[in-house]
This record gives sequence, structure tokens and C-alpha cells, in this order.
Amino acid sequence: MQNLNKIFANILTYLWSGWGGAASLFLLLALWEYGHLQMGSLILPSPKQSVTALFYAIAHEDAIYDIIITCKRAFYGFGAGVLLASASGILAGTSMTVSMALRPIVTFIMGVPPIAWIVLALMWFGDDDMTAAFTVFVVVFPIIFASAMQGMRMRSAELDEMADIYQLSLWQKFFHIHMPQIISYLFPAWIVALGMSWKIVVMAELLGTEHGIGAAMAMARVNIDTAATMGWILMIIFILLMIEYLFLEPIKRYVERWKML
Amino acid sequence: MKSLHLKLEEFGYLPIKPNVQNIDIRLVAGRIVALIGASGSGKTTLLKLAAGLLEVNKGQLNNSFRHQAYLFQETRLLPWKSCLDNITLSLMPVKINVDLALQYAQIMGLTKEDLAKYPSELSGGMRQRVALARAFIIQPDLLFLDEPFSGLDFTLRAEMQQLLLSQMLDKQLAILMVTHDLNEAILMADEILVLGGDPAHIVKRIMLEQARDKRHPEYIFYEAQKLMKMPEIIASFAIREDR
Repeated sequence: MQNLNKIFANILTYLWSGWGGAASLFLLLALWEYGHLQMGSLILPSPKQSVTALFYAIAHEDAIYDIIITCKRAFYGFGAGVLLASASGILAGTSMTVSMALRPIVTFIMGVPPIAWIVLALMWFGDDDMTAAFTVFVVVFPIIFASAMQGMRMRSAELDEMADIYQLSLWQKFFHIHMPQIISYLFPAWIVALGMSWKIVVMAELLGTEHGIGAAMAMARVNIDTAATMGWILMIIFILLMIEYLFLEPIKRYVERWKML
Repeated sequence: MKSLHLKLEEFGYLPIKPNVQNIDIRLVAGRIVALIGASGSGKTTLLKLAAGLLEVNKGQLNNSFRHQAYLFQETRLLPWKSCLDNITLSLMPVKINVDLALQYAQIMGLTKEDLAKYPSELSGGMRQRVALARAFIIQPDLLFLDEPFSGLDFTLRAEMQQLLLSQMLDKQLAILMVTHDLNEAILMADEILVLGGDPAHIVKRIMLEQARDKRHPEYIFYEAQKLMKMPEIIASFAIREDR
């Protein structure tokens, strides 16, 4: 019961801390409105016009379908990236030699601009979900991989010795000793990768697909519909914020609660 | 009878030059052997070799003890686990037993409230008690001590030493300990090995015949004075002054 109260209190505190963020966002909205008043609807539609355009699209033009398809592509690319890059990065981090050998390759892949991957992916996969998902995957992979590798490399040798003395199995050692240390490296990388995957999936759609938020934005561009464009931008940011603060951040707080003392 | 025998020709972290050489350490159940020497003289290295944390390449390690525990200079608790979970960690390979953990925590002077906390919420002495409980809960027959109490104040330290000795008498525990504190060595050990030279080797072996419960402060003081006049000990503690 006491625990339940504590958890409930924590959730309330967390949600309440959102007001600070909300205040700065409202300030931004005010500035936006001011800009609109100065420049007019064609250059910068008001926040209200943008939201209205978005709602109109959702109500009349299957925009929900576009949103879902974009989410799906980002999720596939990001999910595959998180799983494979985290696992292989951790594995690579167990060996000094492997980490040294892979370092330049990671730098090399990270050096390729996302837009170049989109072009390649378009040629390889054509107008398909795979194009966007692949691009996301290939861009987030090295970021997460490098962090996972670093996290594993930087683990405490002292705690490893302790675990060896008490003869913990490989799995117990990984789960109870290594993982909590690696998480501190992995989480920031996951959050950065999540932000990137949204930007990239929209970019890939804008250039090469018929559906999705990016494609809808390409359509808005053709129609010179600035309000719809702004509406879509709001939508992208909204989804990103939801995932980060309602999903990733609470998980981070939970696994790193020992650091909060 | 259960015993530990470390016979080492040499050992070095780098192939160029050995750090320790010609070592012969024997330990049987119910006895305490103390390694003393200046800091940097290779005491911890020897302890790790004996515990199997470092690999013996040139030499032999025979260890017939079943359950060994190790108290490090630092507590090496997991900051992300509660004290209770830290104590039961050593039971993980066998079976986690919370009742047993509570029992040992009580022996070590920890309350139930302490156990729910993270290590960072406890004082240094309390953390050392958690580490002690984690070590004793597996009911070791062999214990390695790497100056675990050096960071504690005088009274706490004496209390910890008594706690350890009482545990030891109950269980025929064998202890291999490292210390740079002569008084601690004289209070606890049956045999003192003085480490010196470069590469380090055993320069002197001292047997202490006095029964452990008869080692009064006067006795310790007297023995320490005697030891401090030995040329080997003077040399061992002075050798690295130039650093």
C-alpha cells in the first residue's frame, strides 16, 4: 500500500513537472502568433490555422492512415536498429580487439549523409516501406552501436572481480552487473536515435513514397498549403514528444532510480 | 584437511619484469595468515593470485576449500541494488534466500530499514557491514581480506575485527589477509609473512603462538615494537620511500 502511494505520488510529481515545459512551449506559440500577424497566412499561418488544417486532413483525407504508416516505418527501422545495434555493440565491447577494429567502420558509416542512404535505398527497394525503414535503420545503427560498445568497454573491472569471486554465471553477470552500467550509455543514444528516425522517415517519404506524413507534406508543398505543412510539423513533434516523455523517459527514470538519490 | 597452497616462481602484469617472485604460501582451515608490506609491494597481487582472480602461469595453486569469499578494499556493492539485494547477490548462483539474508544482516548489525536502502544512503561502516553479510551468507570456509577496514575509524574497525574473529571461531574459517597495519596483523594472524624487495618476495615469516583471545593491547604493543626493530621489516617498509 505504501509502495502504491509512493508510485502514485511519483507519477503525479512527474506529470506536474511538465508544467515548466508547457510554459516555455506556450511562449513559443505566442511568438509564432506574433510572427503570423506580421507576415500573413501565406508565409506563416497562425497556430490555429495550422491545427485546423491538420484536423481537416485527419477528418477528410485519410491523414490517420498516413500517420500510422509513418509510425510503422519509423518503428520498424528504429526497433531493428535498437535491437541489433545494442546487442552487437555490447558483444563488440567485450573484446578490445573487436572494438578497435570496428571503430573506423562505425565512423565511416556515420559519415555517410542520410540523404545519400535514401537515394541508395530508393534504388534498392523502390517505392516501398523498406526504403524509409532501411534508411532509419542504417542511420541509427552506428550511433547506438558505438554507445553500446563504449558502455560495455567502460564497465567496472572491480565489480567484475566481485562477481567472479561469487561465481555468478555469465547471464547473471550480464543482467545484474553489466546491464545497469551499459544502460547509462544506451539510453541517451536511444533518445537521439529516436529523434533522428522521425526526421529521416519523413525525409525519405517526402522524396520517394506515395503515402505517409512525408508524402502528405510533399503534396502540401505542391499545393502551396503552408498551413497543412505547419500542421504536419506539429503532428511530428507531438508524436515524438509523446514517445519520449510518456515512454522512454519513465523507463529511464525507473531503471536509473538509484541515481536520483 | 582443507588447504590452500600457492607456490609461485614469478608473476608480472607485464612480460618485461616480474612484480612478485619465489612465493610459497600455505593456509589450512582455522588459521589466519597475514601478508604485510608497504603499499605497492604486491600484497594485493598475491591475494588475487591466491583467490584465482589472476592466473598463475609460472607456479601452482592448489585450493581444496569449497566456498571462498573476498572482502575488497572498497565495498564493491552494486549501487543500483538495495542492500538486501546486494547481500543475496552472492547466493545467486545457488538459490536466493531472503530469510538467511535477514539473519546475517542482523548478525552484522543491520536493521530492516537499512536493508531497503541503496548503498549510497548508508555510511561507510554500514556499507562495509553489507559487504560482510554478502561474504558470510555463502558460509565461506576461506576468506580473503584486502584491508577492507582501512577506511573505517578506530572503534568501528575494532568492532569489525571482533565480528570477523567471532565468525571465524564458529566456522573453522581460514583467512588470508593483507594489511599494512602491524597491529591488525598481530591481533588476528597465526603467521605473518613480510613482503619486500623488488620484485617482491617473502623476506620474513613470523609465527605468533599466543592464543588469539589472550592478545591484549599490551601484548600487541610489545610484539609490534619487536617487529618494528627487525631489519627485514625496516627494509620492507622503507624500500619505496623514494617514490
